Amino acid sequence: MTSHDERSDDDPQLRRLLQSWPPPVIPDGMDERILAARRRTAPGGWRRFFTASIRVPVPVAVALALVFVLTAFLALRASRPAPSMASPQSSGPVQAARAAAPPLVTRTSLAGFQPESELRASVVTETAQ
Amino acid sequence: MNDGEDVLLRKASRGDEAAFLLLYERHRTPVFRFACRMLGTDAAAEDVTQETFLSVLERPEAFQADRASLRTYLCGIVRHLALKQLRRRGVETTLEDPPEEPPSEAAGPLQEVLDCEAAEAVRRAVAALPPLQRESIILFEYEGMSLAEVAAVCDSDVGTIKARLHRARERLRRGLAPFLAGNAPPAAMGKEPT
Repeated sequence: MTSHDERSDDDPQLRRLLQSWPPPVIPDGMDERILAARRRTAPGGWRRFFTASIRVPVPVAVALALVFVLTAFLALRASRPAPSMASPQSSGPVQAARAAAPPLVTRTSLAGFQPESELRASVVTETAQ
Repeated sequence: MNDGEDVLLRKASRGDEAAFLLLYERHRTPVFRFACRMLGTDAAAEDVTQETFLSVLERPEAFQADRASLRTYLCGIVRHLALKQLRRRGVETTLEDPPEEPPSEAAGPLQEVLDCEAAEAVRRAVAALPPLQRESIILFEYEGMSLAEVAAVCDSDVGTIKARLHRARERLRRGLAPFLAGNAPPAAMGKEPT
């Protein structure tokens, strides 16, 4: 309620006169109309599932987006097929020969290499044969 | 009792009809009264009342029970919607104290005394107030809100509301002078036997 101090500027006569304006009466049918409108928009079941929203803090959203992009990038990279040696212009026999040939060495490694501990050289002449 | 209105509001927004009915029954009258006194017609007030309740259900998290009561919050929404409607009608809603329109010659004070009932004269005088003064008078005088509550609804400070109330009362005293003491009592107010 309003205190006396708040009404220090007040004029009792004016107040009485203002109170002669009766409060508006709620029209018939307003309640039904509003309740019907509320039922139309009320969330429920599948409608709620499809229209519901959640609030996500921006840093969390950015972090999730980065994780998603990174995961997608790594997954694509892992599933990319190795480049084929066969060119589309190769004929059938050439492709068959390539398939039958031992795999082309594209990488060398010195792993397991042991140098000779003792080297013995021998000279073979033509006359000796 | 306003305890748990934020909880009720969240339940209502999740589709709990009983919670909505409880809140609606509790607040529909002040919401409608304020809208009707601001806008002047039942139809416009009904629209605003409906929009107010639906919008508060859409964003229940916007209501913070520790800052204001739900009634104050709802009146704030009504105020926003009512000022929007008034702006659509071409009413200036931002001026604190626009110049008063001169009284029409057809309806001078004496004619008003003779023709109008006091209630009608008050209604017209309040409706003639600038919107920022009107809302303050309605909330303070008719809805019985404190200055702090009016300030919360109007998104303003108590000093500004006091100034608006003062200017509104000045205008009302001038507009309703024929009905106040020292003037001839209007026919409509003369309830005493002659």
